[in-house]
Amino acid sequence: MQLRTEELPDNVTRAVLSGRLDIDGASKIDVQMNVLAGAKRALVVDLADVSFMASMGLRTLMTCARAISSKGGRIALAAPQENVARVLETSGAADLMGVYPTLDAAVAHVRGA
Amino acid sequence: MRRRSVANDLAEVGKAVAWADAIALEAGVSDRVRQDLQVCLEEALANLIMHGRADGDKAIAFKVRANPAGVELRIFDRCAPFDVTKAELRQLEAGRSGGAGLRLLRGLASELRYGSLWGRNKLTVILRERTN
Repeated sequence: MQLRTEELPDNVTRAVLSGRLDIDGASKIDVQMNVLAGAKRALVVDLADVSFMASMGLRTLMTCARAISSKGGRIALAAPQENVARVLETSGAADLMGVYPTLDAAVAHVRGA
Repeated sequence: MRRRSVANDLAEVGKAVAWADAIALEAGVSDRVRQDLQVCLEEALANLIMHGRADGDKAIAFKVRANPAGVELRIFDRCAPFDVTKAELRQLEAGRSGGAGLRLLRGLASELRYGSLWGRNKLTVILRERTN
């Protein structure tokens, strides 16, 4: 699991994840995601290159979402693959964090936070 | 059925899941059911390791049987009983994955059964191929 970030206009940060967001993958990005959650108010997590997600990966995203929401910021998840979207929906996590089919739609949601 | 013990260590979960997935792959299980197998097994094992309470050895182990029609998982432990089929679903909150994990197990499994006898618990997870 790898994480890289990109700064977009209007103070939006794009976090691009790639690989498997399973228990091992989550442990590799937990610290970086916590740092992002502490520093950013408008975060889009680009899931297009995440091939698999399980509950510990969900936990990482939900922890990040709580930290950002608690300071009035916004987070959105972008472009999940079908199997990842199914995990987000089945777990109920999609109801807590906005899930958008495209990066542009996710960016529009968090812009202005 | 093939059996594997799992140490009470989160670092062991990924290896156990990969082992079960290799069995499913070899048996000709579909990608979708293999994904669900990995999600359900990771959730069940991680939950026992992180939250299972036991006076002594948790004795976590599982068995797996796979064929093209689906997968049967039996997960054993000696923790305090926790019936995932009946546990109340908490209001989902950002930052807490407990409710999300239960929802995943119940939502992905074709069938879930839980039993406890003489201090030993067994969770059975059936994942069937879907025809539609």
